[in-house]
Amino acid sequence: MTRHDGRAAKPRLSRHPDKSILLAYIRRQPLDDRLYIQQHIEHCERCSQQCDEYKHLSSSLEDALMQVRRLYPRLTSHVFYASAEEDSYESGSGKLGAARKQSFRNYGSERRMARPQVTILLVLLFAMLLTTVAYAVSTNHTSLISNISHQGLATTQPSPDLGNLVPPPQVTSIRQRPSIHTPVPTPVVTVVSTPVAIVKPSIVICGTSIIGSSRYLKICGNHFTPGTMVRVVLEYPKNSRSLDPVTVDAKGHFEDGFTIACGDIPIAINADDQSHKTESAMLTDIPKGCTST
Amino acid sequence: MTDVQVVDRLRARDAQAFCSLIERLQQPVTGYLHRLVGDREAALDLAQDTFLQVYKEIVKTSSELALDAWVYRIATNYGLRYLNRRRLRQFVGLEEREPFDTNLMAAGLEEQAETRILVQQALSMMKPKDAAFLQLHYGDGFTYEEIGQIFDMGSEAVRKRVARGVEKFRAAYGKGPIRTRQGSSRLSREGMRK
Repeated sequence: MTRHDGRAAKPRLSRHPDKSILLAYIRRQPLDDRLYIQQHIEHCERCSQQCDEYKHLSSSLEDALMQVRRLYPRLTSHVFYASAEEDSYESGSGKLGAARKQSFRNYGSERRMARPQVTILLVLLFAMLLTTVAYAVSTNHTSLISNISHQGLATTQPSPDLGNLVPPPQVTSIRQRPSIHTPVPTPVVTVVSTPVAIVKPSIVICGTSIIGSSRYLKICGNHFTPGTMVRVVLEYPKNSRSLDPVTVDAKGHFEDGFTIACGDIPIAINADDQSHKTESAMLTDIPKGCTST
Repeated sequence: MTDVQVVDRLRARDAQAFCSLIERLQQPVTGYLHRLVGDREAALDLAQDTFLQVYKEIVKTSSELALDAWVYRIATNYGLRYLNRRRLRQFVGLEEREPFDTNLMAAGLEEQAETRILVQQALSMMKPKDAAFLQLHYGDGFTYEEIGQIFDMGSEAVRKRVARGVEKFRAAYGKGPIRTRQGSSRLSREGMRK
């Protein structure tokens, strides 16, 4: 008896297919019993209704999830840069090579995830220290506290043993981000230094004028690294257009401008630091059309 | 050029082939990770890590490798690992729960942004792996069979997993802690929950 035998279809038509099969059916995924399922849906109101619901939900999910595209800076050079760095560090030898390798690991693949582990370790150490201090205070062992402070545990510098676990001060990162701040609720002892808030680079449209059917937009960037070159990239749904790089002034500010057709508005404007590849800023709130804002 | 040839060139550390691979996959992979972890900056980091891992590990693979599925598998592993660590950090109170990433609002039309946020909220309330199945199928258009290659499982298991994910999504939709400005959505919440 073959699958397409009409006599075999009858008993199967009376059984409601599993929900996952209905979903697979409307998603046009390969199914052994597609023909039978189709026949069943045609005759079964309940399954037909279920399919309609799945169709509605699926199209909504697709609409919502497929939009997020082409809003990202190019990764190619970053990946090559990082892989080249890694290769050069791995070719290093001895203690210096190992230290460089460790340094790259902080910078590289696990850098974002490694920091919390360091933070957890520091918090645990701090908790142990607090416990010791609290014990000393409660038992009036003031000499213990003075010993602790004399032994250098209250320094703001990491101890030598922790050197490999603490990120180096000048870690080069593709995107700078503020380090995770660990609150230290004591006026007496400071184990970790307070992180300095890093202001992220940003760009705004600081001037606009309409010339016929074109619009001139002036882009102003702030908080970039002084002296570096920044390239403004206009992102369109299917391509991108790069402007000539401009130099960031001593105040971390730059200006650039371009003319676009009124109907040719980019979906995003990126400003990428060409010198360090560490900073980028994105602007998506771009006025549409040629009405003055 | 066939997939086998591409993989062979990558295994031979051909920079041009690697460059082409990144150019082809960087946006889909970054988009997938962005939707999975809900943070643009983290997604960029994770995508970069993914391609670095591809570069390092490709020599250990064979010519018959399903390249795209393999790249997505690495990306998924990085994404899920990141989410697990972030949840752990949030659990021990080292990190505040991040507000929803407004970069997702930027993509597409403004009137679709609200629906997108509600969808993303619902996905973020699901188990990361369940959400990943929906992201891959609906967001990236992978078939059940291709998702099976990514997760190293059969397409029938994927079928059940996707269906289960859809049901969980429907239950979670609109229940997020963050409400949108207008309080209404282009997509009916009732329609999603029904």
